Amino acid sequence: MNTVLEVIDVHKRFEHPVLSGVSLSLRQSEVVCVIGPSGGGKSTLLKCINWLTPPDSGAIFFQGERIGFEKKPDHWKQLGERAIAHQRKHMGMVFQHFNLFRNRTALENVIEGLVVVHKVSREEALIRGRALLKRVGLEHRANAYPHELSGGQQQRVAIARAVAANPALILFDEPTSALDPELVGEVLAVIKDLTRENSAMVIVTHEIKFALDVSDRVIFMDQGVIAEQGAADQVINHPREERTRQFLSAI
Amino acid sequence: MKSMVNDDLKRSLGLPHKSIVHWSRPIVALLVLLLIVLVIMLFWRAKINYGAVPKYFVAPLMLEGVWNAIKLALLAQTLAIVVGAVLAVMRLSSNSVSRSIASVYVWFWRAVPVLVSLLIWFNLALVLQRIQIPDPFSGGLLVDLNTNDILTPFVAALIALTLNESAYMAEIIRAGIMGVDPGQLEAARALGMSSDQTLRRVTLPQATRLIIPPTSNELINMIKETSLVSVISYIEITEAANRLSAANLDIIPALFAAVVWYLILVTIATFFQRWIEDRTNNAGGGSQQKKSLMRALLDSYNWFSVVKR
Repeated sequence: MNTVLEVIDVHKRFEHPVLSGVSLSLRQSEVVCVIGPSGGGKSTLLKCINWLTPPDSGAIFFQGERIGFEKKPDHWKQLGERAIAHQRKHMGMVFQHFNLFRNRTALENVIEGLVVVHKVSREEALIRGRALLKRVGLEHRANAYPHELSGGQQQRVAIARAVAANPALILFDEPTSALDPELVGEVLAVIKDLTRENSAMVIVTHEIKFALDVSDRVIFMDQGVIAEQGAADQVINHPREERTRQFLSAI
Repeated sequence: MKSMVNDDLKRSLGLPHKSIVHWSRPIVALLVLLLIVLVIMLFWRAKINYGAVPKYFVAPLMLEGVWNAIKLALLAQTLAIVVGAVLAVMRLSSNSVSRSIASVYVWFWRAVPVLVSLLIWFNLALVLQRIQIPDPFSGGLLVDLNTNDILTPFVAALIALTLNESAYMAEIIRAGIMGVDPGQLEAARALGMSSDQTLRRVTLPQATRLIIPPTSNELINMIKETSLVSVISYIEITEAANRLSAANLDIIPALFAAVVWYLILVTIATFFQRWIEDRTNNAGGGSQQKKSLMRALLDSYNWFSVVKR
């Protein structure tokens, strides 16, 4: 199977080390859930992958291309901002706080990337946008502004926006953490539905049952390293590491 | 109004409620009324030819002044917004050269009083008779103009007001840009937008909502600042009043006519401010209802709103 994403020995520190040597690879259409205590570096890892937070060292290869760098005969040359933007075109990201464009309707949010980044014609983008809203169950809210939608609805629109351009990889940064408990289900259902597609996914989540349900693989991160990883059932139901056991019993 | 809410709250809580009598209010109102009467009496007894006010209000020179003031204020404000936007983007850029240029510009033109700047631009011809740009190829002159032909009172006024106002607009626009939620920018970048696409598609439209209220204030200030231009004898409202009363002693009536014009222009600007704020509300997630221009006009001053309720 094709490797979509290759994370090699990534380090990142802010005031103190957040990522201390994380390596990981994802096959095409593989779904990986990342669990672990807060401050373990999960969200930072996602932002390093799409270079929103460039790592201090290590490398990210996405579809064979190194993010942030360009291969020269004898060295890696750092890429400019525009070229990095170009590299992100085939990655989608879903944020904890949705981050829908506040000045655009649900439909406009979904088609924004298609029109502006992928240069799809507006008519075509609208057709695709409506289909996506239908898929997340919000075709009737196409013309609503984000502030007129519930948190769960906003997140479903944000997911539609992230997948609009058929990304090879989708990054989910705690997609249900900011939601009221009764709205979590609808968002998880939408994500689960999307796992049938070809996109690979990295999902940072605290929903252990959901992780067990959808993941091909579960990664347990703690203190900036991958402490344990393996098949969902193995990591969640039969953890080998003491840290994993402690974390899972605490929640 | 506030005490009503309190009574409602008490009622809903099942508490005994009793309107509090604010004795201080009628007393203050009475004192203010007395003061107003006193001022009116003073002006009544002064030798002011009130009958002349309407005459000066509609005098052709005054109307020319009004038109010139409107022209100058709108043009200077528009140019200042454009220059200010460029400066704001420069100040927020990662390029240290453009950051410093913009900072020095803002520092300098905020520090120079408009009146001084006006006088300098107007009198520039004293030290610089001709504006010349040499042509590097032919050795002749590419541009050769008489300074006085270029720096007419209108142009000098426009330059002075724009330079000063653009420094303020730069700060207002910068604050607006910085007020945009960083999550919005992250979302744009994650979609693969470049930084100038993010600026055009996300940052500026959202910053606009934050920029409009203080900018309307600036426009109102600008209308009044045009009166400074009278010192370089450009015919705006104040200069018109001065000239109309130069030959007689009707200085106060002429200035009263000018005051009425300023009141009218500022009131119109205030109406316009409310209207445009309502229209841009949804750009940042405010209420989506759009008011008619008329409704906005009526709401512009809260005393209208009080009557309406």
